[in-house]
Amino acid sequence: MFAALDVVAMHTTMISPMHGLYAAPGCGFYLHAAQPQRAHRIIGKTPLLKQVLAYRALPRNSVAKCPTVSRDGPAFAHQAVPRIVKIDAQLETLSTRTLQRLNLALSAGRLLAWELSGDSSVVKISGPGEPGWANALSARNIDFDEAMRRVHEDDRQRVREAFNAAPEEGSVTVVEYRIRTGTGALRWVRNHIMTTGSASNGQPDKSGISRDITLSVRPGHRSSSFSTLLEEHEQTLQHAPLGILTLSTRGKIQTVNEAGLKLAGLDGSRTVGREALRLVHSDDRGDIARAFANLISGELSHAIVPHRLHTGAGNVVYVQTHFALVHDGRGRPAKIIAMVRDMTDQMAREKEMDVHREKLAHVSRLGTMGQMAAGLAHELNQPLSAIATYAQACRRLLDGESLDKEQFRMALDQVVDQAHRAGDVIRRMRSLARGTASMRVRCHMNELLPELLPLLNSEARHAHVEIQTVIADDLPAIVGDPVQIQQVLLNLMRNGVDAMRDVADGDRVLTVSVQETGTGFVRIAVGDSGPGVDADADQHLFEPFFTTKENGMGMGLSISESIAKSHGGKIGYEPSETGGSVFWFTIPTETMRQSA
Amino acid sequence: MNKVDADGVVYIVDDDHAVRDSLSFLMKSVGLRSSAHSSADEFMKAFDPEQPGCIVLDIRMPGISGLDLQEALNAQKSITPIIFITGHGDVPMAVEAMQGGAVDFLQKPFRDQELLDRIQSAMQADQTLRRELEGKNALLKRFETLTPREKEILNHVVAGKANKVIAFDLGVSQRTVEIHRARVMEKMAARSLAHLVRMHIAMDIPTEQGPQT
Repeated sequence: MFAALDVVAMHTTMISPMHGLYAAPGCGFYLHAAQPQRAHRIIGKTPLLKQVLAYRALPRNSVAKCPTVSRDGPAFAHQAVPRIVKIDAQLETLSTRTLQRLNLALSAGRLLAWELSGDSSVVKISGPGEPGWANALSARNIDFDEAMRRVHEDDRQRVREAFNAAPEEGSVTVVEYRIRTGTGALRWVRNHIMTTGSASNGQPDKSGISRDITLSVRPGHRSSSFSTLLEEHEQTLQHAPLGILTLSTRGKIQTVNEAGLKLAGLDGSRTVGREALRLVHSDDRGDIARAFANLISGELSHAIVPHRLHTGAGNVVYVQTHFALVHDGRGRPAKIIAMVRDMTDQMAREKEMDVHREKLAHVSRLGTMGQMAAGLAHELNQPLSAIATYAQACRRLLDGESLDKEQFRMALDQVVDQAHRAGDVIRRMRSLARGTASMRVRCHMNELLPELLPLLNSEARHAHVEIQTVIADDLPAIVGDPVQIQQVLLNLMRNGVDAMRDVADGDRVLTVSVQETGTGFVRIAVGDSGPGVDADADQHLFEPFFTTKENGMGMGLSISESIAKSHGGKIGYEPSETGGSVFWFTIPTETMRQSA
Repeated sequence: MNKVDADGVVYIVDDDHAVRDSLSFLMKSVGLRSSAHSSADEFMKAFDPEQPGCIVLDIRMPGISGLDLQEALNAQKSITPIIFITGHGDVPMAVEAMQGGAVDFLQKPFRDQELLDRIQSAMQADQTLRRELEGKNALLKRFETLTPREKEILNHVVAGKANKVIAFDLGVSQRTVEIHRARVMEKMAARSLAHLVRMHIAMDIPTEQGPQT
């Protein structure tokens, strides 16, 4: 392409004022056939056009009568002028043809010709059939700086260096870089920059040819053919660690790469043409069918579905598949690209983490129960004491002369109630001490919180703390592990009680409020009237082994945080308006989890 | 069980309603009057220091604790005896309670007889103390009717001095001492010298006006 252009350039080493074509021997060309009136801008103040037209009227060898051209105009004009006087009718015809050839060459090569005046810093762009990518640039004459702004920011420095390099007239620098088109897309461009003037007025003039190389050549690789590119793409596809499939909109497998075959444990001949859903675990087919429907209806642009695959060997593999819809030229759904990631390792890791987290949480719960033992014993003692007293009073009533049956029954009812109360305390203690695997069930905070209160009652009494609970009406159901959620709440509440040790009696109030956030979570906040958290401590509250307590391990909040996170919620601290602390955590609601 | 003064009231202060109600029920079953309260504040509003009886008080309560209430009652010069009840393991608190003048300390759950015995002895002690105080108050009232001279003579008389010695000490005639002495005996309603001496001891008044010897 460029070789051909060079030939054209050699033929244009003369000037045809009729067509506004100027050229200097061996140093490129200027093309202004369509707009000769613009020509004067190239060489600054000198109205070249007039002078050129004047040449035609002048007799031969009278070049000396146009001294301004050689003095004020750029060097090429000076060099060209002596040849102008030799133009005759024959030559003029020749140069017209040359011009046509040049136009054709530019147009066929989808090239952009440009020039840069050193004096005025104006980039002037023109070309016979300007390539589409240059539209944004060629719409008007633009500033050099403005043109530079279209260049990708990472490439700008290189481009500037290329423009400044090789100041000697006639030298050529080649630079490849990215530009941003009017639509914001990135294109690779190769620019041949030629110095076309001396640096007598600061920067020398430049002119050059730009070519879009995005499709044919990748940066750093000289001339890579389209077929090589395809081959490379194919290789990339085959060696990708993801299973990549193209599916028809009906879900039939059209292509599949090696990783995809490996995942499914099948060979290519048995896979292509098959229904993709048949490889999916039967319990998960519904999810994928839904994702397909959403893609094709246009509701989603892509979908990520965790599911299981049946392998040819009869095993089950856990994968996560990214589905994307591809449209045809008319915007109709054409096919679906599925990228399948093997999640087996990650699942195993997560499972292991879950086991560790549950073990840690359990140990921490047992530790808490140990610390609470004295209080819990007291909490059992109360109903037992009431039962004993009622029973003994009943015996006295029996021994008396007259028996008030109604009174007697009331006492027995109380005995039953208190026995249940004691049983409840034991049941809740056991459920907290339990060490079963983490589970996700539907539960309600307005059940979990009251269940916890009897366990804390005695500690709160001992510390002279009043517990106030504010539970919003119509609280939605949440999904989580009830014991772990109670563990977090218990932890925050005990911390709150602890924080008020040095507060005057009567001012020790622990407030637990539960409300919906409106963003799909239930927020449980525990506020105390203690002294608050030190400013330098609040950054580290949730770090393991960070504690402000004398006998603290520093695990409580850290474990609480891991529990909240594993539920998809958050945990946090903020100073309360009354000077104490508020610790809160969120747990997703049932509807939130279903939609996720 | 022994009969307790029917005027006595058993105040019950416990924040746990089951414990409180069961205690009220027990009191009722043995015919004792009781007045149950869920907090120290509530109790203080209803409490009448003049009312004979006793207080059954839970040592651990949110807000004002049993020990704080005991302190407040002591500050009010209440004499109503306190029986503390508590869960196990509160020995240091028990020690503090006893030092504060509590008459007894019971761990929950308790045998009814044990509690009732303690209530009974507390109420008896309260009754006795109140009677004693009542008597002392009556004596002091009589004592206040004496003139300064008569009080002086009384001090000399209870010190065991003969009329002659008193007359000499005070520089008055023996006859004057006799007249004053007769009036003291009359005003104090003393049946004998021994009775007067016992009354003087019961009044427990400082004797700075007494003889120097």
